[in-house]
Amino acid sequence: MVAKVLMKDLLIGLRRTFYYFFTKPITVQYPKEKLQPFPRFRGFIRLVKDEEDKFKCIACMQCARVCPAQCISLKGEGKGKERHPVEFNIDFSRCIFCGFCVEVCPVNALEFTSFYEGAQYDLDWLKFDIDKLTQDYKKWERTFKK
Amino acid sequence: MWHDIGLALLRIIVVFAVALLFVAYLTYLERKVIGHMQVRMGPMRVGPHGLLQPIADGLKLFFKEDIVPYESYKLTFYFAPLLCLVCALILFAVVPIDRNFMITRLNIGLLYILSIASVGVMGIILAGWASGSKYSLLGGLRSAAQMFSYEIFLGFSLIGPLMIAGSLDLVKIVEAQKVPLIVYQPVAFVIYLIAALGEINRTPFDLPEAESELVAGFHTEYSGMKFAYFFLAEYANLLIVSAIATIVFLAGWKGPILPGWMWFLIKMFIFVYFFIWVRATFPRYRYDQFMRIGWKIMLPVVLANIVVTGIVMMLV
Amino acid sequence: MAVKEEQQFKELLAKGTSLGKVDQDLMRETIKTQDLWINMGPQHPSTHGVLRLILSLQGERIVDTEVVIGYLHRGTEKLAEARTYHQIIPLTDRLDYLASPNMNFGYVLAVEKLMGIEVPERAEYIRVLMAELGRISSHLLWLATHALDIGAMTVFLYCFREREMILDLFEMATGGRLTTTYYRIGGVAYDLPEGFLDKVEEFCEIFPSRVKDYDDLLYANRIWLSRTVNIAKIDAETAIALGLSGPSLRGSGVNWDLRRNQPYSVYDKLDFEVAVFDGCDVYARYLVRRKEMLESCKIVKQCVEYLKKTEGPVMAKVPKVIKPPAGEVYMATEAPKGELGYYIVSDGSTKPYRLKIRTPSFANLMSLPEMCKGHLVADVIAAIGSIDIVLGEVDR
Repeated sequence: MVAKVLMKDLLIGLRRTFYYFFTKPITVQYPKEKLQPFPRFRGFIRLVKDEEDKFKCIACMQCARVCPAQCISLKGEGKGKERHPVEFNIDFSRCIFCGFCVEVCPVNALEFTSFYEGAQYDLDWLKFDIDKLTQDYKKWERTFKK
Repeated sequence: MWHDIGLALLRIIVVFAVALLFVAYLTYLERKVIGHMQVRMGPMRVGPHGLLQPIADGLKLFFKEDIVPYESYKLTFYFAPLLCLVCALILFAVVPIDRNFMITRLNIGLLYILSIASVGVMGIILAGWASGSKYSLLGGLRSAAQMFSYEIFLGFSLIGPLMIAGSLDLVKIVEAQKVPLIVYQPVAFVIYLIAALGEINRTPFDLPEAESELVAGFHTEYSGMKFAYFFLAEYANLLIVSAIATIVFLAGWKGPILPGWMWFLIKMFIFVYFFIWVRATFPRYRYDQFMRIGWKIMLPVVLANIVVTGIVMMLV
Repeated sequence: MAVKEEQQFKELLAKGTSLGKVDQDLMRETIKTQDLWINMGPQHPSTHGVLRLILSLQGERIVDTEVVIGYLHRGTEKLAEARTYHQIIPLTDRLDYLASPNMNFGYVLAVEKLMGIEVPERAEYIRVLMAELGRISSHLLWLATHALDIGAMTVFLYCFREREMILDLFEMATGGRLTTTYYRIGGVAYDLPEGFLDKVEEFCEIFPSRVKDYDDLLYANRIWLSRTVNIAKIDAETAIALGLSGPSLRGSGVNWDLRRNQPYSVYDKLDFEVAVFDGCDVYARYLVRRKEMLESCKIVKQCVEYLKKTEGPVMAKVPKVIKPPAGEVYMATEAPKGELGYYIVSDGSTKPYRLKIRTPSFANLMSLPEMCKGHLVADVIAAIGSIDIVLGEVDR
């Protein structure tokens, strides 16, 4: 009864917020500061080339088949060991970043990058062809210097 | 004579300019304080530590398209926010910031504030009704009931201190306080704070605009500068309520060492901080519960307070 | 009032008053009273997405509530018929996007039951660990938004702070923050990364103290109590009849938790308490979820203990092309929101013939009209919050 009249329950709450008033905020001020994603992070996908600047991809079509969003399309050329892709498109406006394509690839020709800033004004920008898929994604990362 | 008018105008300009600046930066203060209580930072982008944020907000609202709903009652719809703002701002006319610094000294200053504040409520009711939206209407109805009844408790809670001070003149009230009246009137003080929260519709009593129930209540349909008027009025009211609490309960400008106006501002901002703090902490009451608290708990308590004050004064 | 009616009314009024007295019958005919209809949603700050309610009010008192759903319909069940069994996993992620591990869990269990796959124990423990983390994160988001609806906005950010920690854990182990897609038919996609278990342990250490933060602001707060106690009551019998499940059902005093009543995976080896409170109101549902968060934290700790000790495969031997035998299966699991059931009809091909998902939010939402009857508008908000719906799951 005394506690109720003195509004103890309310004062506890006030104490809690007052305590946090003096603690350090947890805000990360994007884009001034950015968090580094974990190594497994499923960002945009890129095509890997080996040391001789050749595609690892053997155009086996497994990634296109496994993709639930059906956003991968590719064309291969050559037979046996010579087989390599001539066309490779990933439509990131459809991609759901489930990672099945990377998982299924028998030669690890696809890999995840930590690039995630895919909000674009231009839809066509998200339709990656074979050239764009092999570029260094770092250059698209947004920076905000002050 | 011209000298007097000039001086009066100067005072008006200074007080209103400072008041409007304070009101604008009060939004900034609120966002910052609540932000830090919620382990985040509040506005940080515009200017260093977001200091220019209120100005950016004001500019944005100023240049925003003014939307008037088809179903609204046009004249009232335009008139309501103005009424709100004007009523809030002219309250500053009698607030004594220092012993000699005020626009005008009224011998019924407190009565003036209470009565003008209740006219301001009309703006909200009219806005709710004129919007032609059901949510706004509910907000307007809620505010009608809430603010009229809380005016009563607000007035009653000030009667105890007034009996001790023996005047309605705000300057005399301050001068009558050798010791701040909060010492003699703690109950009235608590009731005043609660009633003030209800009067200026802030959490936990922000029922007329309860954003998660009525979207934004009476100002759901308002945009642009008209919305800004409501916003300014709300924060101006917050300042006024804090100023009255300072004057009546904390002995206004009185205090050692520092100049009077500074003491006044410090005390006032203690109250402002408290109101913001409360907003960051508590959930919202339901409308009927709020009325029940008012009429069933606060009214008897505040009446008892007056009676006890009277008896003690007679005996002493 | 329509313009025409208004005109008519004015004419009648003129006629009535010109005779010297108001014709009462005529007046009664034209001035009708009717309930105030309010359209709440689909764009409303506290209908948790795109739920639409049509409320009939008398004053602010609810006479009737009509729930209109379908604004987030994406045809998951139909889509599933055109996907292989593996490709459905990302679809299930997007049902209840606040607890995607739990959504995956039910689906993969259903397929495994259909095919009779034995899953390695380590994989099972990883699954349970992830599912319980998902449960905590879902409940945290529930508490955040529920408190915000009732006006306590600080709890919102405190909850999000802890949810962020869980999402970081998800990101570390699975690569996704919201749609984890971690479970596979026969196990999980990959083993836990190094240092993950320590981080989980760290979280489990911190979490109970953080629950105390929320308690300070809500648990005994008189405003919170007056907004939740005896609001939106639904007794045990009605709750069962309406098909309520999960914390909403346990808030009505029914001791029913699929993790214990029909144990799946390794839940029978874990020690945990089922949270049951018999207040039948919003506050009881709050207490249930609050306790469940702490219980889940306990389960997570046990899983960590096991996983630290053991090593082994995380994937069973599963054929590359999943082709379950013809037949049908129903598998129900305890998702954060209630009973989540997957009913799969297989015709022996690589794609399911039919996938029916019994989502908890959908069934729970149907109790809303019953809960709101006779309450005020403000209580509708509390009621919606207390049954914890996710529209992605309601509309599928």
